[in-house]
Amino acid sequence: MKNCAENCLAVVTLAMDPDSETKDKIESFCKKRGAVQFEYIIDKNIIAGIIIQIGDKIYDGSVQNRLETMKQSI
Amino acid sequence: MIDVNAIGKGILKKIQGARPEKEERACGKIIASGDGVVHVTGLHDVKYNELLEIKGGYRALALNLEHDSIGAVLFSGDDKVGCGDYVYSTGETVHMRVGEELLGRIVDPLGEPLDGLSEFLTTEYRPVEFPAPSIMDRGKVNTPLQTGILAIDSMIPIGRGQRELIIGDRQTGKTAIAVDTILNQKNENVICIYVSIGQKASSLAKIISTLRNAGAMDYTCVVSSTADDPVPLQYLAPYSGCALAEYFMYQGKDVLIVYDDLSKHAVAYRTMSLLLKRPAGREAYPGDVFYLHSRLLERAAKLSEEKGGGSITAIPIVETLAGDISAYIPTNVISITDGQIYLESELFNSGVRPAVNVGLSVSRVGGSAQRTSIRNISGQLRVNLAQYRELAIFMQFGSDLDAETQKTLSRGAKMTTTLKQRQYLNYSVKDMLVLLTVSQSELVDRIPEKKVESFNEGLLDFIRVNKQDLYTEIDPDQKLSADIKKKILLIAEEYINCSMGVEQGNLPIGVHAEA
Repeated sequence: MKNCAENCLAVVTLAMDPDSETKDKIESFCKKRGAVQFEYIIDKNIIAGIIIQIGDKIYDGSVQNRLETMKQSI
Repeated sequence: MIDVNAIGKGILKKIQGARPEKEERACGKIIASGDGVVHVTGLHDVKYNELLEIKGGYRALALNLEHDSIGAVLFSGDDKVGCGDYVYSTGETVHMRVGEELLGRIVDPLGEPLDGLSEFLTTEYRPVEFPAPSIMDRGKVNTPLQTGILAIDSMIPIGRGQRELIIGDRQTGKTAIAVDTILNQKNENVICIYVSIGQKASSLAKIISTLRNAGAMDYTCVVSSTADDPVPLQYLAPYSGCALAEYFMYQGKDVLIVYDDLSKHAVAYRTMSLLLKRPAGREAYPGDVFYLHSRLLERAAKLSEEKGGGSITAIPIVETLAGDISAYIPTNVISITDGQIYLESELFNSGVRPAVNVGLSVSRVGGSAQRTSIRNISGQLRVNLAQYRELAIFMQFGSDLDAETQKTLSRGAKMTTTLKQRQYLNYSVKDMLVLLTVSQSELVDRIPEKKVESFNEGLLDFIRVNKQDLYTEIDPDQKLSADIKKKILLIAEEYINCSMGVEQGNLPIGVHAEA
């Protein structure tokens, strides 16, 4: 039961408010992966890019994450 | 002068080469953390023994898969990780870096170098848990693994593909035997892996410097997890070492792996199990402590010719308390291995080193793991020593005994002295043949007991310097012919005469020389 609810909710984190075109693209991406509900969070800490979490899976395309990876590889 | 531009270009290259992270990852959150154990929610698809990554680069092992959370043990970052941190699954069970590159290096159980030298270039990994070779894939153990120690190679021979346990109290020379065996593999085409579990860093440093000075590091890899390492690393160490050994075995090579020691390994596993709240059994060890060691030791085997003919010989070490080999862990490991070398503190303290108790030590592979010549000549050795031990009680009566008993006693004492061997002195097969021939002949009656040790060393030197052609005539894979035996005895007699003066050397047989 819990699984079902979690898997239907997509938590989208952005650095700034999305315009309608971007919002459509995000929602179609999430719907393909089974998300039905959407929750938008604005967090300046990710610098830019987007983080989408659907249930267990996380799609991390933020600049902050990229910088972290580079830092660790050096 | 530091070239700033070069450094800048280097960093740029590294950034460009940095693989972009997989876009999609499974993610969970830590809900509880403490004592090196974290509880994670989410991550519904995690497998048992899977490696998890926590933000910050720390890794954990998923061991308790519960209904709504996962109990994972941390490999590092015990104090850095906290509630709410994100945990990613790597999708792979824990694996060990393998390759020829690791020979000569000191690594931790996850494959990271510990010796401060260059990073590894190899990207080959093997899973740390791997099924043991099946019954049909195994071959017969018929090649000897020469330890270079006379007492072991003559009476408790080890074959390639065998598991032989070294068991004894603390400070009885267990690690010394293992290290001597590794040193003796120099020209034997055997790859050695020394796994150190929960030992003092200072002891390990000494062992490594011994191996280095003797040139043994060229064919040895040390997998180390010292006493201050987090317990999950100590738990993984023997399995990682075995994964590396399997890499070579499946290539058809012979490998020797030493687990020093499994008692500390069991203690580390107990610590982890208790913290994971698993039920405690006898002596607080978890219920699967037998399986812990059996699955490790079963992976040491000799493969059949169709599978490449490679082998892994395992030498686990177990420490007993007050000589009690009927305690829990010792009995477990004894029932798994193909024999044991039992070291006694009493023998060690009275100067018999290696302190092998010949009566209680056994090798279940036995004769087929010995060179033919040695097998033939050591046939009576055990029996003679057993007889000597029985009569030894009567030694106090000295001259009140008949000549036959006195002879048995004197010969037994001299044989025991011949079996003593100092550390790092490895005998070759031919050296052993000479020593065994001489010490089981009547010549030995001419040598006073106190001079036996120096006589043996001197005799071998004498042959090495003056009589090298003797060795070219000996074929270790054939029974020693009567001719060669006579030759050896003649050379020994010659040496007695010149080393002890003609007078003493010419005492008639049957009269024992005064010490």
